[in-house]
Amino acid sequence: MFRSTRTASALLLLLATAASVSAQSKRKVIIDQDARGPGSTDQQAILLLIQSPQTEVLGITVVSGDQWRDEEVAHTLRTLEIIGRTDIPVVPGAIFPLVNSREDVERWEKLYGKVVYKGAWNPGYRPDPYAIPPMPEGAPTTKPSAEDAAHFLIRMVHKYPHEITIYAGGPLTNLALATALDPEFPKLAQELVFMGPIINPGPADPEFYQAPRRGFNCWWDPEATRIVFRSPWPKITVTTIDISIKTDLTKTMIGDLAKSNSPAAQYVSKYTHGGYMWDELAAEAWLDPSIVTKEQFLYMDISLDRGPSYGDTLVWPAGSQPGLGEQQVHIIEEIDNARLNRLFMDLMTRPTPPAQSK
Amino acid sequence: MTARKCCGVLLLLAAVIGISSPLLAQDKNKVIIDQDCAGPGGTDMQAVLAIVNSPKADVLGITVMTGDAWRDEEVQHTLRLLEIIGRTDIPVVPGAVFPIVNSKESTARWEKLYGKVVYQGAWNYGKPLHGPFEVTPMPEGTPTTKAANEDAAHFLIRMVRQYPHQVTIYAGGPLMNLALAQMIDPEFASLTKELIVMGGSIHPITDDPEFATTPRREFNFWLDPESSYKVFHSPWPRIVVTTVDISVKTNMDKNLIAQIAKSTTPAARYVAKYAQTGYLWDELAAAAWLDPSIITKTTSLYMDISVDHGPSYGDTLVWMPGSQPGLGEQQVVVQEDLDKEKFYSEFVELMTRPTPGAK
Repeated sequence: MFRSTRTASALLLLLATAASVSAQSKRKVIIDQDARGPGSTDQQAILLLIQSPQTEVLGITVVSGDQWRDEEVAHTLRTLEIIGRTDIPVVPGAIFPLVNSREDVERWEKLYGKVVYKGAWNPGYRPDPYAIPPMPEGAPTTKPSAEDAAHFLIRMVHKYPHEITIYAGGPLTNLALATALDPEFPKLAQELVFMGPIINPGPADPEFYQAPRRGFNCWWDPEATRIVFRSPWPKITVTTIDISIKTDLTKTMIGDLAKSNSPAAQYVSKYTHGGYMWDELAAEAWLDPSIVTKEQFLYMDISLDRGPSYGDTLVWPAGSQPGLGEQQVHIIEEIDNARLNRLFMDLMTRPTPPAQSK
Repeated sequence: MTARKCCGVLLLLAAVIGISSPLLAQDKNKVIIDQDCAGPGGTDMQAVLAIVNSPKADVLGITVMTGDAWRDEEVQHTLRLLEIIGRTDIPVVPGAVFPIVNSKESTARWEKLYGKVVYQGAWNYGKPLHGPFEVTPMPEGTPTTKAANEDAAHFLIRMVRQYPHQVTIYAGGPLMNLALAQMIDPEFASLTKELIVMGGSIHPITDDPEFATTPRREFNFWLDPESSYKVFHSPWPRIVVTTVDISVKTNMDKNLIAQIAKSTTPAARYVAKYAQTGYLWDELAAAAWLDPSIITKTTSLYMDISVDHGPSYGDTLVWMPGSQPGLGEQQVVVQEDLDKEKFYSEFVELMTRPTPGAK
């Protein structure tokens, strides 16, 4: 009873927000994502950001990571078809990291031990970066944008200076390329929201037991991560794996989604893997900062050393950092899980907001 | 259950008998204490005391190296401790003054690239800071006894050759002495019984600024990474590691110090006088060797130390079996959890009981 009252009031609040938020005052965001599909944390984060009445999603820039770029582009196009938002451009980005490679990683592992999760480089994963496998959710008929991600990102921040949040849920190759092409790019964004570093996650998950500083999104392309972490963003907010592994998309939540007739909820209930809400947490904490109950501020960088720490997260409390351009970041330290789950359910089960009239 | 109780009673009896008529030397566990012996009091000296005071241990010698303090002052503090408790028969053997490769100067350069290192032992924590060979006035008095003429590495080798497969190496400090012994005699590690070592850090759950942002950096392994690397690539019959993860679960609080202060033994009076509140780093490694049942949970991991000169220099590396690179790193027993009450009560008992063989 109490719960349904809360849900009802949350819905009312959402509706009220939707009515009062005009196109001009909506929060502009570009989703930079390794958009594995169907389902998965990647697509779910995309869905949350589109489903929110607060946002205007200017585009989705795609990068290899959890899968290869081309299949991710296809899955993203299909998601947008399913929810009826084919107006949002899907912009292909980097296929490979700047320096790192599958061959380099295999050599590294001989010296420093196995890497548990390697995304598109996982053993047995399809080796052809350009192959698009049969898609359980159906093949898209829409096409990606003809522009590349780096140029799209630059063009958008110049069009809407200081208004755009860059939400990054995957490796940072696209953002590094944009920064290299246009050093003004980070300064012209409003902020960077990034899911992926890791500080001290504890012994619970074997992926991080051996390598507590290795977060996949930072590790896939360490040089790109370095470029991004040492760039002058007005604000950087980071969701670390330390906090990601305290979230859970439960079977009950998935069961409840199946009962909704919203296309987003139907899609998620059908294809989700459940479990940690990696990218969803980063997206939701940006949408509703009250999900975050404790923050800390640290200077952050990435190890480019070719030894055992290659791609590892580095952090310092203020005053201990080396001062070589690394930035102070907001780190989500504690969250309100009930609130996180409630917003997830509310957004997924509501009707998808229509395209903006331009 | 009954058998265990019976066993406990027997052990208790053995302990009681141990006080009046010491166990025969051949029934005791031979051990060399390889320790950075900052003093007076504190974790280093309390670990030395825990082992020396145990009726189960036959301490062949204490080998000293720079770590929490410089070697020479540590040797003096150790000699004085042995005078106070009446065990000047135990040789104090000077070991390495400096790490093999690492130095205070290269650490200062490293910090410019990779950020501040909170705790650097003798390099940044002396009260007051002073040079390697200077011994500042000693509150507990200056010793009249002298250190051994032999160096630590040769002493270690000689002992394991005299008692092959019988000597436990308890290591509570940086690992230069053990690395040097292994370099001089490649059979050294394999001739010991086991290595008990306090060091390394995996996933410590703590807000302590020494570990919160650098959970893989632990002082004993970090001060001389190349020595640590050598030790963790040597063929020890067995390695047991007490990491920061479990150390930070312990605390020498005022209550514990007060319990020790009730005793009038020379050891207890010394501990109570110079004790500081804080983690029981080395004492736990020592006490868990004497009574392994203090430890309630262990993990088996492969362990190594990064000798890369980048940001991970001196960091602890671990792998689950099957994920290790297989370049000679060893499988170790890592202590994960403990019975705190048991540990504290046994620690108090070790600090307050009469020193065996005291003269």
